[in-house]
Amino acid sequence: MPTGVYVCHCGLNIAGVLNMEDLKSFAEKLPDVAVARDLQFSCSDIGQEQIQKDIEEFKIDRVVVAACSPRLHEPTFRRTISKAGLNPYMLEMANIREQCSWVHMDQPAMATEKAKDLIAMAVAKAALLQPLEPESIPVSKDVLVVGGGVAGIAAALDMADAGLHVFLVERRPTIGGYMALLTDVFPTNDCSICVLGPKMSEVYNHPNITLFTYAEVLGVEGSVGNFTVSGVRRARYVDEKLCKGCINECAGVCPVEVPSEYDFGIGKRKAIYIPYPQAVPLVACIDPKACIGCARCVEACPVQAVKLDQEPQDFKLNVGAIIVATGWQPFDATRKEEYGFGRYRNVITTLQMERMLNASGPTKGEVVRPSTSEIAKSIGFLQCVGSRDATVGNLYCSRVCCMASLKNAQLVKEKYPDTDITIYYIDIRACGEGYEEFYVRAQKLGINFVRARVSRIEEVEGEIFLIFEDTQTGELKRVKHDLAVLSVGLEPDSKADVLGNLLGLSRRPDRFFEIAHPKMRPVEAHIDGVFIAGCASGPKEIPISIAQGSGAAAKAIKLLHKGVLELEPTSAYVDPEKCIKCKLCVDVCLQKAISVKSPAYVDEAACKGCGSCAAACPVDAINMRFFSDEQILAQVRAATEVKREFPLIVAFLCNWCSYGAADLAGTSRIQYPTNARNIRVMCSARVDPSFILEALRRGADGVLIAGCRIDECHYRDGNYQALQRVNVLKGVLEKIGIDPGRVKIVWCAASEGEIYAKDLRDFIGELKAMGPIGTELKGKTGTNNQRGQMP
Amino acid sequence: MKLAYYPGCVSKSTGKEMDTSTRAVCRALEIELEELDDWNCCGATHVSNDLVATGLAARNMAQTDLPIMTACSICYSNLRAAAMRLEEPETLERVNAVLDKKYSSAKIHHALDVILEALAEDDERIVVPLKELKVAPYYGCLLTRPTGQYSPEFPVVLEELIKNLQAEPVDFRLKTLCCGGPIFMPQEKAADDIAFRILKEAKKAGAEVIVTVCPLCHLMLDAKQKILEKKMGEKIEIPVLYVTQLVGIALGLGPDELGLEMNSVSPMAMMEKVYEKNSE
Amino acid sequence: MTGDEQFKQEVLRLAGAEVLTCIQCGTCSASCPTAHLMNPSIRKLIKLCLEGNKEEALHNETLWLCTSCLLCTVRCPRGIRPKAVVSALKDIAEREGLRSKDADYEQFFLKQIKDYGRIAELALTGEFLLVFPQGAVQSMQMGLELLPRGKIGWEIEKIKGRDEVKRIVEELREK
Ligand SMILES: Cc1cc2nc3c(=O)[nH]c(=O)nc-3n(C[C@H](O)[C@H](O)[C@H](O)COP(=O)(O)OP(=O)(O)OC[C@H]3O[C@@H](n4cnc5c(N)ncnc54)[C@H](O)[C@@H]3O)c2cc1C
Ligand code: SF4
Ligand code: SF4
Ligand code: SF4
Ligand code: SF4
Repeated sequence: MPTGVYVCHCGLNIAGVLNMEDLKSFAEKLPDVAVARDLQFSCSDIGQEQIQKDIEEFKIDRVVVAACSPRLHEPTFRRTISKAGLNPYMLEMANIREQCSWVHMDQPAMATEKAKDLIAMAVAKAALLQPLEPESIPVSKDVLVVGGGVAGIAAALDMADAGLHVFLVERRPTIGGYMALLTDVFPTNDCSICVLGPKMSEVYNHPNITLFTYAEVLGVEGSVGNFTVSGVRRARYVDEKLCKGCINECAGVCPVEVPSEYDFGIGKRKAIYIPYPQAVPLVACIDPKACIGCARCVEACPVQAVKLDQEPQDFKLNVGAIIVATGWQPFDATRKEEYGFGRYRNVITTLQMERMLNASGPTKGEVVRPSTSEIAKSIGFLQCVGSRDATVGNLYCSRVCCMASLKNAQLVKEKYPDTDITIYYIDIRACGEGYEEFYVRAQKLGINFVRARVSRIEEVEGEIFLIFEDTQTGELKRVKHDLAVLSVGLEPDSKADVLGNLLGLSRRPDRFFEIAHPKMRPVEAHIDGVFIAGCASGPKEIPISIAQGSGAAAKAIKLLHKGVLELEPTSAYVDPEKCIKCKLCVDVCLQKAISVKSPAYVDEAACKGCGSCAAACPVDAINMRFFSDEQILAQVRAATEVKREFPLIVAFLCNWCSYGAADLAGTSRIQYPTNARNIRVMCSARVDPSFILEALRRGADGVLIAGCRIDECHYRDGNYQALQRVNVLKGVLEKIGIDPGRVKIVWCAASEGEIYAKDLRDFIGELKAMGPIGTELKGKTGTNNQRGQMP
Repeated sequence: MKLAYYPGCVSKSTGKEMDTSTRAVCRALEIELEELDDWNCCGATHVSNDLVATGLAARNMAQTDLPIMTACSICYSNLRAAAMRLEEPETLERVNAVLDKKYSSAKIHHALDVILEALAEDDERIVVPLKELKVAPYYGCLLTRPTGQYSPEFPVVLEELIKNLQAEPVDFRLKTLCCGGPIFMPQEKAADDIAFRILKEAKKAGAEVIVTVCPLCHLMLDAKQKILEKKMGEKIEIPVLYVTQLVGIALGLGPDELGLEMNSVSPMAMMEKVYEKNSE
Repeated sequence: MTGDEQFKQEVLRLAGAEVLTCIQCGTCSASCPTAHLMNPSIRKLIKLCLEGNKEEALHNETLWLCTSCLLCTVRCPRGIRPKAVVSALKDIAEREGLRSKDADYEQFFLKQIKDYGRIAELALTGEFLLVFPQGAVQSMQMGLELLPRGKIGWEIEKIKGRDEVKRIVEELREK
């Protein structure tokens, strides 16, 4: 396994501090090194050509470049050696710039010594590299969208237009979600269904969209690129192909009337019904709970579309990606008992108000007091009902309800200018383009604003009174209104629980689906190939729901448009012989990439290569194709081969944050001592306790593990898993008499070069106080503990 | 059924009728009560240090392994709140450090829920159904607080019990308003105002009797009723029964057993009406 | 005004750190049965604590108008226990020896618990009337109601575990 080593000057960036001649001759003597050179700029064309020439001439089959950070030029050099016929994974870099010459500028001698270790570590790892072939798997170009609200509709249309085939599964008999039920919509107060209706029809008519309404997903298997989805289309007892949507014929004869869920209880519908006139598909549906089986509708239907014996139909799909757009549900206002909703007739919710204001709604656009059906002359809106409220477990702001009340107040005021309207609020949240202006508009229309959270509504002889403290004047008040409107908040749709569990989606403390990164990956789930859009991941208004639908569509298109998926060959794999089926790996894998079939099996398409399972496996049955146990142990051994300084620290840095922080310390020229020998791993969770023990056993004075800040792990909670493992290990160390302080775990973000340097300085100080490894054992055993004799 | 019984300090003075009737009703319903050994005051609403209040309650609760029943809402609230706080290991540790008998856990009942559990709707022990009697269910504040047992806004247990006795609960708007009792000594006027509001409201709602679950409420509405009438210049004249007294009447227990003669506003006229209805 | 940070921290320790999250929404004050008599309102009292305004937070009638009904605590949207803030302030006032008729009443109450383990209402009333003779009219009226009905407890009952109770009151009260 002839290795070529290239020590880069990087102009004077490296050569200005380190002794290049010394490093080159050191490298030459390392095992298996066939050629070692120092290059002015290895990344330049000349440098790259030299490497390629050597591959030819010296038949080297692996390359070590000691230069800048692999985060910068690893792809470059992979390409270089690949062009010369080597497998791109036969490259290892030693970071002697960001993590050496730039941070030890005034200690050239020690820095050169450290660089030697870094090069030796890289050469030792390189000796164990295996060629890896990125596998590509064929993927389905079909996509499943769950939820036909405005977010799901936006996603479906974008993907269908781009040529993917979309299956849209909607639980209700019509698509449209809540937006289809709203009256005019903020911030421009245009008619909601007028803008949404055409999109709904487009979905229905699109050749690339298969629409399943009144349907549910019941099973999901497989992983990114190839999900197998099963589900059921419930019986609507009406033949979708025959029904003409005339509805008056059948519903006209139906004797059963029930409150309509699409009017939130203020309007009525029959047992056979169409949710609202613009429903898509415009097909009747029978509510089996309400239907008494009289079959009058069967006779009334002019085209014999009513089929009382219709059966549910199962479906099975193969899709490459899944978009979850399951939306929200209104907070149940009866839970705020002090407001008397459901008890006092003149207390309603904003959604009921939306329906009343809707010209095609149950009151044909009139805003009335339910108790008398008279036009309401005085209306109070109560904000934050079920939001920002610890007593109901919803600490979050629902974000749209301030704007919704501002809107409804304006619409009422425009229709009935004499109405006295007051909005009772804690804070008005109108943040969005044109939103504050919308607030000002409401103020100018003469709508009153009182800063108070209403404590209670009281009903006396059919009249309702709001009881509150006007917090701006400190006055306690009891004010009568004809109508009180509760601005209910948004909660995640509870009907989406099944789907969430099937997909393994995680939930935030607010119970909405969690996205992969709260800023950088707003529409991706933790699971590859699954995307989230609209209110499924938290309350949001229509424009943002649409943007997220389109965003999720773009992600799915990017993923699937080639029809094949290139897999990073860096995944975990299981040695079936060794596996004892303990399933510990299943629990740590956030990707759900490991299946419980015995023995364990890693779905390499789903694996992200964090390595936590490999660290968790008690019998080392799991290994990684890249960053393997053997490679990391080889680095540890090379780092401790010669103890060049005290204290000697072996440091494990996660690729995403802490390695980035160490690089940043370099680019910022933050100076710190040379004691650490850094080993890059994908995630701090990769650090197997055996690596730490090996380092200490071989004479390292301390081991540092650095990960992303808690809650910022790129694999969600790898750092937390690392912390738990380190804590257990510390207990073990204590038992065998080693100071547990020799193992330290720290968190830093990629932007925190200074913190990384400080943590390291602190650790060096602590280790100095402890003395060389083994000091603590001397007192106990009286023997002079030397390297190699540690437990 | 056997329960530990925590009478509370007022059982010895202003709340004697509560204690007497509670014991009588439990006897009639075959609920065996074992008075807590050497019990201490729960601190009522006058111990402002949470930890001290918790300690006082914990000492009581540590005296028994049985579920504990009390008939006083204040004691009930204090015991429940303490049991909740003692779920925190830190609080538990600190409190147990000063206790002789260590606290581990406790189940707390109010006489109200014990009776409701023991007495079904058509129970044959209800020998004097309170037919057509209009009862104002007055909960006061602490029966439902801290939250977790009954709704703190619209509790309905009392109504349920009243209906089981075949009486009619009136729609009583102020049923959970605090009676003002805890501050009646130093803040007489404030307390009097609230208590009188409650009485007036009960009258407006057409109540023939008010039922309470707390001895302090009882004191404010019953013992003080005539004083308040004089002070406010308005007659109320509604008897106020402790819930166990009301149940006792329906169970056919005598006035002595229920301590009815200890009530300030005599319930005799009301009882006569009940008996009359039953003989019809 | 620079606030008394130590005082603020003491309130937070006794009443819970969540007091910091008060949004001054007024739910507590509008729920309070005696709010119409309070000045500052229970909401403002919380603000005073957060400002470290010890002087105004301790010297007011509000503390003594609270009936401990807990409705504020039931309703506060931040999970704050405003009544616990009142209690904390009373506790601080008592420890610092601030005196008023109301504070004295609580003192007598606690002292009885400490000395006897139980409350004897008659003795308590008697003690209170010594510092607040104006209460005599009410007490007379009440006495006339209760006496003929046998509802005045004449004896002071002393429990056996008085030492234990004393320990509870004294040791748990310390920091
Ligand atoms: C009173 C009120 C007024 C508002 N007014 C405005 C306004 O004027 N302007 C504005 O911009 N925003 C407004 N909004 C916000 C707006 O309603 C939302 O932004 C919008 O509904 C979000 O769309 P969505 O697709 O994410 O969710 P939804 O509309 O909830 O759609 C989700 C769909 O998924 C379906 N679904 C759920 N679970 C499943 C499942 N398991 N399987 C299959 N299907 C499922 C549901 O049936 C539903 O059809 C208002 C909100 C309220 C409460
Ligand atoms: S948007 Fe307004 S009403 Fe809705 S929760 Fe937020 S602050 Fe409250
Ligand atoms: S390496 Fe990480 S993502 Fe891959 S199987 Fe193991 S735990 Fe799951
Ligand atoms: S209810 Fe709670 S949040 Fe609102 S003002 Fe009172 S203490 Fe503050
Ligand atoms: S506990 Fe005190 S402050 Fe709170 S509502 Fe009741 S009386 Fe008011």
